[in-house]
Amino acid sequence: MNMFVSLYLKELRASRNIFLICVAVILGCDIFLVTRTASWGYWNAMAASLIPLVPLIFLGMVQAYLLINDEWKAGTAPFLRSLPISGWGIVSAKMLAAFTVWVALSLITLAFSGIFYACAPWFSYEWLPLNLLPWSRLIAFIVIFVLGISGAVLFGSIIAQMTFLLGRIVNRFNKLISTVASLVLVYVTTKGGDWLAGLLSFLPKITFEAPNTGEGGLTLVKQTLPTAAVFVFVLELVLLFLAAGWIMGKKAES
Amino acid sequence: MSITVQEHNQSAPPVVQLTNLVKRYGLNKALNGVDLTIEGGKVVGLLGHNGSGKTTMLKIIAGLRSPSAGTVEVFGMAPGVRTKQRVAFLPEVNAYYDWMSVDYLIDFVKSFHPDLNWDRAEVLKKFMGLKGNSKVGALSKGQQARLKLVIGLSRSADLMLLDEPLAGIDPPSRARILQALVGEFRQERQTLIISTHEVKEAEPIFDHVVFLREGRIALEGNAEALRAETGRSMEELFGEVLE
Repeated sequence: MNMFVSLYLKELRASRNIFLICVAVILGCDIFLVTRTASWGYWNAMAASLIPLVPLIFLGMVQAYLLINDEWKAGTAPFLRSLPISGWGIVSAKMLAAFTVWVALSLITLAFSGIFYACAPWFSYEWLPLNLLPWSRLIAFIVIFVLGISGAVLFGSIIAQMTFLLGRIVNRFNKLISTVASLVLVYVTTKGGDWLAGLLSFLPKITFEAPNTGEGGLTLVKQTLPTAAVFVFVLELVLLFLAAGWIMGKKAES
Repeated sequence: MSITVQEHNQSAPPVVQLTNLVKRYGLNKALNGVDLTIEGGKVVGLLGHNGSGKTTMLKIIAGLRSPSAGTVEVFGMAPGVRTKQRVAFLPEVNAYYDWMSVDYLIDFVKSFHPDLNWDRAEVLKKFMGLKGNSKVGALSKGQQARLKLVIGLSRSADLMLLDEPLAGIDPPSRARILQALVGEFRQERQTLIISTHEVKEAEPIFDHVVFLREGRIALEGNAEALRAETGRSMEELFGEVLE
């Protein structure tokens, strides 16, 4: 089996417990919400079933941190780092596994909410008129939304791994250095990103339509997204990944 | 005391070459100017008290730590992915994932090291009294030490680095395991670097010994030549050189 696939599967297996716990929590929330349809209103309860999507974004980042933290905590880091795979291979396997867990849990949340939505007639409610939205025009929004959230999870994952690894370059004050490094990294990436995006503001903007609820019901509203911001985001993600992989391969102590 | 006996093979680069190696941890120097050349096919004993720099040296050779100064060459290359393909590093503490079964772990290692031989692993599992479906986390300390040896000896690695391989293994089994290390399970021309406190038990298997004291090489040489020259066993030299 390919080395990377083997490592990725190992990381997925290491994520099994947290995955199962999250599935149980999501299912528990949905069951609770079903019991609240009469008092909260059916659509409020259904909308609440989508709330787990927000903390799941952070879970994706935290999981990347835990996957790397556990290697040092459990003393398996020397074995992992003695394998003939580059630091970038290790970092990306962990990042991808955390991302996969996030995708799977988000899909499960959406699936439960979908079932909730589909069951509306059983509770004597009419389905929302979502079919009135022009789906062909929504596609750009859906793509941008999914890519944006995915990028945020990957970005958080790499920051989490990077800060942990920075604390492992030295043998003392690991946690203090990791904490300071995380604050500095977040500051530098946001401020530096804003500055660079400002420099690149001459780049064209992407326009798309986003759904909006107003007096006229569900409508599509025009939105713009600067290409410079997207470019800076991708650039930072790549640079952080390269740095994290290099530290994992060459500089971290285990 | 400084006696150095080295045997050089001119045809290939040394398996390990350390030049003026220094490793600092804060203000402490774990290794302080170590120069060492290890030729292929030898069983090298790395002997020293706790904190003498043995583990640090093995980890630097394995590519897990970077030196503060000096150079490290393994098979003529700086430690990295290419050298890791040819090195088996067996750390002192249990380094494997608790949730893996013995067979899963062997399969996992095989996916990184195609030189791992499953047939040999099966024989070694029996020899070490391990079951394939046992979880690593459920193994005793001694069984985990045996598992490390199963993993290491199942491979045809050119260089095997063993950090205290006898730690946790009951005394009656040690001689048998040492014999396995240098006997039937050892690969041809394989180089072993073994750090240990168990000098008396491990002494017979060493071709070459390196005594480390406070991060420096206190004595190094061919084991047989040192015994002949000093008229003392390695255990006696250990006490004399390192105290």
